[in-house]
Amino acid sequence: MNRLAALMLRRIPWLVAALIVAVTVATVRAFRQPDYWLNVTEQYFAAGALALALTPIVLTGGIDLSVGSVTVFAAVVIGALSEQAHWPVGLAVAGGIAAGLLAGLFNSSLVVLGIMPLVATLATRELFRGLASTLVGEATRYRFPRTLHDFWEQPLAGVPLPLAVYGIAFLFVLTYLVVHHSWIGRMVYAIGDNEQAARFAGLPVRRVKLGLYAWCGLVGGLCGAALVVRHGAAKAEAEQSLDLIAIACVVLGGVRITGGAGSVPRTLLGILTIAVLLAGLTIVAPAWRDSLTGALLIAVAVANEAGNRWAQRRAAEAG
Amino acid sequence: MKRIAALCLISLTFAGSAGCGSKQGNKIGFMPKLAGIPYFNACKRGAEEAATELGVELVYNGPTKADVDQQIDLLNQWTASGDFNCIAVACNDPDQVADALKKARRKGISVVTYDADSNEDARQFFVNQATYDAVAEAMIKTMADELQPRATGKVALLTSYRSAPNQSQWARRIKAYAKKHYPDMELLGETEHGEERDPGIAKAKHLIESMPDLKGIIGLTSVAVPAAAEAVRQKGKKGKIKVTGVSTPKDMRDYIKDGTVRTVILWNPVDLGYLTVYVADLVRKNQMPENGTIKAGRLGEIKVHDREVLLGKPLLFTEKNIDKYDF
Repeated sequence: MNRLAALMLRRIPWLVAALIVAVTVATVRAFRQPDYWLNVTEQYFAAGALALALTPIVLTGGIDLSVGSVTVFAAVVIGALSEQAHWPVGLAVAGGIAAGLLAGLFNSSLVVLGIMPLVATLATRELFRGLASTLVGEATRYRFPRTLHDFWEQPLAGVPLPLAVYGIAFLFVLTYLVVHHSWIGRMVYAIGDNEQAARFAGLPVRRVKLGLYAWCGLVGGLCGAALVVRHGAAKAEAEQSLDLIAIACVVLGGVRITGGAGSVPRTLLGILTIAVLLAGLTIVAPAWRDSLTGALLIAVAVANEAGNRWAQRRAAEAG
Repeated sequence: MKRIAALCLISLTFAGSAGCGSKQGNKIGFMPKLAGIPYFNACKRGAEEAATELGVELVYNGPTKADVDQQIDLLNQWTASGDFNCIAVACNDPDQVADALKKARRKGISVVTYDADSNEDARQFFVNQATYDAVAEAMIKTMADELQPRATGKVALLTSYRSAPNQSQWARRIKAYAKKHYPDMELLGETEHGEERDPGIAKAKHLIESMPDLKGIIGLTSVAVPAAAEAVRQKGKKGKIKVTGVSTPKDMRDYIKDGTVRTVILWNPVDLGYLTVYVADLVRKNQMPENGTIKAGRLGEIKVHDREVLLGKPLLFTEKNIDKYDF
């Protein structure tokens, strides 16, 4: 019994999150429609993709608050290049993705220079959103030809699937392999555990960080491009809460915000929990959506904390 | 162990309460252009009143910004959920929502627009608050009256987006009417400010500063009129620059009381929401005539023409009657 209890305790965060997902899915009839699942993916793919890109950063003990702004910035750059500079759409999309990468490189150079990630990216969060506003200016928004949207749904074995499904699946596998089965991943955990020690051990801490933040920017650029394709429009004031939802997915999955603990599958569970909760409550209780989501997030956070404390106590007893 | 049990229980209760309460077969989704502003709150009140009378379930939800992409997302979500029998929506953009509405139609969901129409082929019925001509005429006539003795000078139009369905229709008619009846009035092209109040005030101030001979501002949205009034008040131009347009008594009470604005134009949004749900219910039951009349509860007989339902004539709000309305 003791062992069973121990096993349960360690799995509390998983259990609570899985329970929330299961109960929501079982009680909200909309989830019986396959269409609804596709729709949920379309709604939350950007937050999910950014959460996956954020996971290794948070594992090192860092953070990137600018992900949402980078996404919007990239989308607006695409708009400016195609509508104002009259580039062909394909080239403009590439330009937008490159702008995301550049924004990420800018973040990473600030971090590598020794500015706290929280401070650096809080600043660039405003910077990139502001740049997007300036770029759009009087036009208030960019419109793209309708044909662009046709690209959004790609058939797989006869079933048309939104581009987002492929993107998020690919990104998950890639992030999983890098974080859990490569030397980069091992360094990420080492930095998160003890950055000083990692540095003394001769690990290329700076280069890893440079890569992680730049990668996050690139994913932001890709999300921006995907949003342009999906909406056929780009606006500076779009997706205001994207960054916060993405960070919530990571933290909710149980990645420790100070680094060193957490995993990519758990982030995926975090994404699933948030997406299912928001999408489910939108249908059955829109007026209560945000407050109920908040309350359930607290439940998961408490469970996470309990699990972490138990692990620490265990470690202390063992030591 | 106790702790785990407690946590499980809490999450179960929350998720459980979220899941209950959807009756089969008569669920109407009622969507504003933008949630949380007095105008659409008033529509919602009327819609709820009608839903109670008819015994249908009403879900009210809308974009938190007047953003057509947010609106399309939510429409697609409603459609994909398979939970709704009818959707009633005030459209942020007639072309862009059309695809989402057609998707809903293909799934067998009835689609009604109100307040702001979509493309005609995307919806079944449109519940119109007042004809474009009537509202546009009321606005330009009010402005001309206030400019007396002579309806001359520069008049600016302040709007959310040039492409917004009602606003673009009114703007076109205002210009045409002015050209014909007030040839000395110079109507300027529309100034866009999006949906927020602050940029509205900024744009109105800019108009006032850049044109010393500006005589009037017509606001085409419920946000634009108070924004223009606020700019006039802040610039100390009360009485020198006339402000009118389409807005709610709640938004405008302050400016009407202090004389910055004399007249605002609107219809009764509570009645609009009420009528919309009556129409939605008839459409859902396949009892809605394309032409003719319908009975809509306390509103009595209402005319239907070419799949368009007309609520009535615009109302004018002045210092005398503004306190009678609480929307």
